[in-house]
Amino acid sequence: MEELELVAGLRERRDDAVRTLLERYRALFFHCIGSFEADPAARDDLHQEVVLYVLERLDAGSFDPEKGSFGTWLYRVTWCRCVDLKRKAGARRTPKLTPAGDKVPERADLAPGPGEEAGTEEIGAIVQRGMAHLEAEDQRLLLLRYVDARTLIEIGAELGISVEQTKYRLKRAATSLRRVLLNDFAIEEAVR
Amino acid sequence: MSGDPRENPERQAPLHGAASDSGPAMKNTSNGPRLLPAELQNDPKAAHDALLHWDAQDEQILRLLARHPEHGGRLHTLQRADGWLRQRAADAIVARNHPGASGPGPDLLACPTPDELYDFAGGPGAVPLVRERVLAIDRHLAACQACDGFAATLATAPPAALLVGADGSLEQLPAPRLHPRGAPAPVRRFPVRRVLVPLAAAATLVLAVGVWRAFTPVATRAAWPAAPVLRGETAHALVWPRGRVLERSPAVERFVPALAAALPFEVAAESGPVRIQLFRTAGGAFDEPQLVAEWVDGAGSPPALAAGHYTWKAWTKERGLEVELGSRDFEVLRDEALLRELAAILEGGGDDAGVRAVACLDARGFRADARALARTLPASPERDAYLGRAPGR
Repeated sequence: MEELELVAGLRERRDDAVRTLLERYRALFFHCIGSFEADPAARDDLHQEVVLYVLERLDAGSFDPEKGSFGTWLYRVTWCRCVDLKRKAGARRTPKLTPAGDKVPERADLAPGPGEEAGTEEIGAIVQRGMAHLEAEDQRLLLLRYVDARTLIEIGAELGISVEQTKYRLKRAATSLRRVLLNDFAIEEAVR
Repeated sequence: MSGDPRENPERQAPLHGAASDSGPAMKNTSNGPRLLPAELQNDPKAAHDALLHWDAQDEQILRLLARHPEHGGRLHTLQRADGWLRQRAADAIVARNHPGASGPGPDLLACPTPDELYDFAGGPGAVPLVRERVLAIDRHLAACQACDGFAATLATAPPAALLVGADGSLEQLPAPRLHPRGAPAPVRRFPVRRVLVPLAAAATLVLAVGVWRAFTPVATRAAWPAAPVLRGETAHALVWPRGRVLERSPAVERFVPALAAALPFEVAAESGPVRIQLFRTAGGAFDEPQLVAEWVDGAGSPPALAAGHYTWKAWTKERGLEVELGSRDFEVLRDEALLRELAAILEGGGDDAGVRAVACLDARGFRADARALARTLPASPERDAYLGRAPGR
């Protein structure tokens, strides 16, 4: 079945077109969904959700064959839907509930509470101690990225390396920091 | 090395051809191992690796780590450390946007739309963004772990679509020819050594295993079904029923009376009352579900269900607000052959007849019924372990 025929069939909800969509693009759907869900049952649910959304988008005329192939459009729609759903699920997991009868301020106070502030200071001290044990380049990378909020392009330009090399080395630096922190835990427990 | 700016600086260039690591995008996610839950319990090194690459683990592994008395605290600190670093980046972005500051462009703390993130991360068919937007999203990723993770999922290209077989065109493909047309296929002698020697070795092995099993004393012939090796989500609030369920028909009452009671609906650890709605569907993707029943757990019971596809949804109350717990599908089936098999097992008698019946139901995928039957058996550590195990996916 040709792409345009498939798209027309999907808009008409023809069984053969839907079957072709599910079979032909199964690997594509699950490649994308697999990055967001590890649980097979959740993957199946997400697959169903995404397929229905794809059909909705097709009905809305979102696919334009002149802009690219159906597979490319499908992958983008699937990926964007997965991100949307994960964001929604994340927001649902951390609801801000207020007991009934509480006075809700007109504007939320975004400043951290005293306990939160103390916790932040403590973790900050742990991270700074850990960073002191890292190699100079790793320290520099983490400082540029997280303390100065520099972009990968800017960091790469400053260090004279490519963006991909910057990504790789940043990941390595973050792992080194975690290794130091885990090592500190082990030492602390041994002393206790 | 070729000097290609995309190449991996940590690897040597291959001997021939283009650099194998100069792909379109290097994966910046961790290459850390993806583990099985059992490995975390038994292998300290596996747990250490999982902690080291915690951002590459799925939710189930993270939950297991978080619950562990020792690793839980470590994971929490590593996550807070990551959060602290990202908070520094967020502070820097805010400071740069502060009135009076001379920022290089429109930075942002609000997450970009999925479409923008897709284009930024270079997914298939990505549209180039304007440079300022690229820089802003790049900076945002330093402050937002969720978006950073989403962008990383686009590092590997998707597979090509399956173009044959979907509409029967597989049969129309020409059959592969092993030998050129006209050329006679070579006649080969029967490879005695290559075929008979491995066959003889395999036969000896099978015989040895058979003899060993025949003479090994077995404490009990029936065993409780073992938990399958599962990965992924286990904390879904709607636990049972799921998968296949036997129809509560007169045949069930006759053959397996223990299963005649109404199907129990189990919801994980909810303190408040749970409202359940049951829908019937035709099993298709586009069917409209029909509400069959609605009840509050503890104050009502589900109706007898005819064979068919069902979906149940549940809600609970948290601080006066109704919160949806999710939904789950199951299918009610009529299976007379299975009922006769179960009846034969139970009539056969023996101490372990009930356990064998549970194992039979479990093996056939009727795990909700297997649990219902297990509940009617005398309490034992094995039975409690079976009933208490996580259903997995």
